[in-house]
Amino acid sequence: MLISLACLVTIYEDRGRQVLTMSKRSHRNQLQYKHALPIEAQPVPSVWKHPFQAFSWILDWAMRWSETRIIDVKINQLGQILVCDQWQMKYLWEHGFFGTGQLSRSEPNWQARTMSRLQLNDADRINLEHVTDVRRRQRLEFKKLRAEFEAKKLEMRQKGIVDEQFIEQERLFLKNQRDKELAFEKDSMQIRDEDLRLIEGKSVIQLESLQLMPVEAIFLSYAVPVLKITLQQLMVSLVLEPKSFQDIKKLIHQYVAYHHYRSKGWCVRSGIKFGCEYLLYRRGPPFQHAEYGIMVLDANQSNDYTWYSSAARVVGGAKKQFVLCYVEQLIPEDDLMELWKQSKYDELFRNFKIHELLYKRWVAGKNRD
Amino acid sequence: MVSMNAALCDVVYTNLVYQQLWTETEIINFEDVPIVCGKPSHRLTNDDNDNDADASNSEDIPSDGKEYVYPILMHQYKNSGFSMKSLDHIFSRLPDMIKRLTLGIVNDDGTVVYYFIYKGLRKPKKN
Amino acid sequence: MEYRESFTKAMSEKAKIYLVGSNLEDGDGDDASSVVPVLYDVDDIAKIREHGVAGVLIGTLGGAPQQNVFLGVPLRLMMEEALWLVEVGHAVFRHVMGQDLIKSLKGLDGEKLQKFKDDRANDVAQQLEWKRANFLRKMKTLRGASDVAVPSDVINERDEQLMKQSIFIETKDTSAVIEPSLNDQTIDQRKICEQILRQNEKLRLNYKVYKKLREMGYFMSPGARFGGRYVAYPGDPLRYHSHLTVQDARSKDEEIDLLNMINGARLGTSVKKTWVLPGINENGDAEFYSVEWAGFG
Repeated sequence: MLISLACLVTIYEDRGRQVLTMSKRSHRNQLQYKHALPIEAQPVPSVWKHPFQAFSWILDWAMRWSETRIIDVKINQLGQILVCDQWQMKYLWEHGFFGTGQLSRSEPNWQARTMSRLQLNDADRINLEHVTDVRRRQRLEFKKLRAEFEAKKLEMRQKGIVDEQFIEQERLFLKNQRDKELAFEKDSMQIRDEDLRLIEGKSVIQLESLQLMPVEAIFLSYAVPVLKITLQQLMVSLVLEPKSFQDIKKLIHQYVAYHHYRSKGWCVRSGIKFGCEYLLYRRGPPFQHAEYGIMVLDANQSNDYTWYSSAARVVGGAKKQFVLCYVEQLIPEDDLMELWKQSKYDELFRNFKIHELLYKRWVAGKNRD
Repeated sequence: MVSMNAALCDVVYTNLVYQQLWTETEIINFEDVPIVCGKPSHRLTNDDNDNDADASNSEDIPSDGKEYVYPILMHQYKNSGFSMKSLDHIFSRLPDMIKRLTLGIVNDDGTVVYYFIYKGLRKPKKN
Repeated sequence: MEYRESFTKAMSEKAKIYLVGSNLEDGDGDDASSVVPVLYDVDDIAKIREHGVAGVLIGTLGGAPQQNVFLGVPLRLMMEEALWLVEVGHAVFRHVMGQDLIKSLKGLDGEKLQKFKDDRANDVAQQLEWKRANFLRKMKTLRGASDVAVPSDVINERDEQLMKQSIFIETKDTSAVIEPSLNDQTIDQRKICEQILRQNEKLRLNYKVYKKLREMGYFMSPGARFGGRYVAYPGDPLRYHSHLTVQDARSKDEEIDLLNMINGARLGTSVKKTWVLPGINENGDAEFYSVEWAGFG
């Protein structure tokens, strides 16, 4: 983290621009992401100067209320739930960090990124993904050179030569390489044939859509209804014709857990990168790292120790707390299935209960505090 | 089913070309096994073991720098149906010179993750 | 007779693995999982290490494992290791303790117990008789023939007490009344192996994987710490880093939990181990696939 910050600073100095300070950045984030959900409260004016003002305010409020379902979604044959409109993509990202750009790590910024890669504009925004990428490449280069030195050293040792000068030279060289990593050279980017297809005038065409996880789509259609698709339409397209509760069980459990954390104010995102179901952010990815990794389990489920241990190690290794979220069914499966068939989702979701357990790897010799 | 495979290949193809910036990328059907084949924008691992004293792994590395990606769909709420038999089947269709398969796992959270698969045992790469 | 001796000798050259825990003979349950193979003899521990089995020293302080980093004997083995050593002929199973003991106590009839009591009383009586004779002989020598006031064949009560207290009762290594159900020479080693394997389907599959890897030269350790069934080392764990985290064996058409695989391969990247998926093919042989994170995406 320190290194990448150093990189940011260097880039900005190289460009002869203002150094981006952390506080400015977080201030900008505060403004850009001021809404935690796709709900914008309408402030009631403190003074009513004229009766007409009240009337207009109420009218305005009513208009907004009737217009909450504003986001178009498309479900393709792979079952991917996509938002393609530029403004809508941005809206969902900025109002609670919903969805993932299909060609990005999370925020759908592929177009801007590509334009800056092809040097089509001087984007002011620096690009974290590009930085990570170059750093990763430099790291590989470093490892390769280190391996070369090691091989030479081995060869010399086998021949019985001890060359102090060589070892010193190696040390200096490797240090140099390290410094170069920090200095971060913007490598010259050649334009590929594949890129030419993208360019349209001074811009690139938008290839990227925002993809919603099924649980996100349910949430945005049920709890905070902003998607134009109805909950029933959505459910049917997710699971076409369930034969038994087993066919919908996982989806329902996942959703119940997702809804639980969203309703407690967490920003919930996919945890696949860390081998768990969800990651919990206090506010969202631009603000800080996720604090918790959530694994969703059936309340009756019991896995062998190896399973817990490896899941916990991956999450723990990323400095996150590992939470087992147990979903308990309060009524028999047949009854739950009946509720699904009658599209009584409200009642369906109500018949679950969440139990949570924080799981921590503990080593007697290391954790004495 | 076929068109679903094609759609899946498209997702992985687009991801490789426009997010991972691969070149010479194409979709090849080895009979019933669709593969997205292409060149990464840079060497993926330092597995060009010319300098490695123990070169036992180097035979697995594609000499032309091409990687072979098999796309699979992973749903948060559905089983994948993917087993070792599926892997046997894919490897049986691939030319013998291809020692390393890459799984392109298309998640329903909008990301694609990539994992190398080798037949048999394989030493870990240096970190 | 000669055969018997050479047989006993051959047995003693093999490492002795003690099965501790529950009962092997009530066939059906998942009992083998609660049987723990352990070794107590340091020479045996060295011997099996030469054959590629390291095991884990667990010490005898079960409740205080953190007392010392370097625990002592016994050495605990994974069941796969024990089975392999016995099957190849490097070791033999010794008697089973635990429920067998209880069972053997239940079978203890009055006659046997009475005989034990009688034998013991007999032993005490004989020793006392011998001590009395000795005592009287000594007295006679000491006093000579001159002192006729005290009868030479009478022992006073105090001396009699002292004599009784000094009676020696031998404590044997093995029980005098309970016969271990798996006695060294009488047990059919192959039969125990079969019994253990029959009880546990998962072990049966994993044993095939263990055997294959062992025969390829790998040392295996329990792998739970790294998210696997085994961690495999290319040689003695004291000299090498482990290379592989080997998962539980499965039949080849069993579904792969992709999230679990992603997990394992990610963890593997950070601890420098390949995530290995073993499967058992139609011929019952173990086959492997190795998985690692591609380094992008």
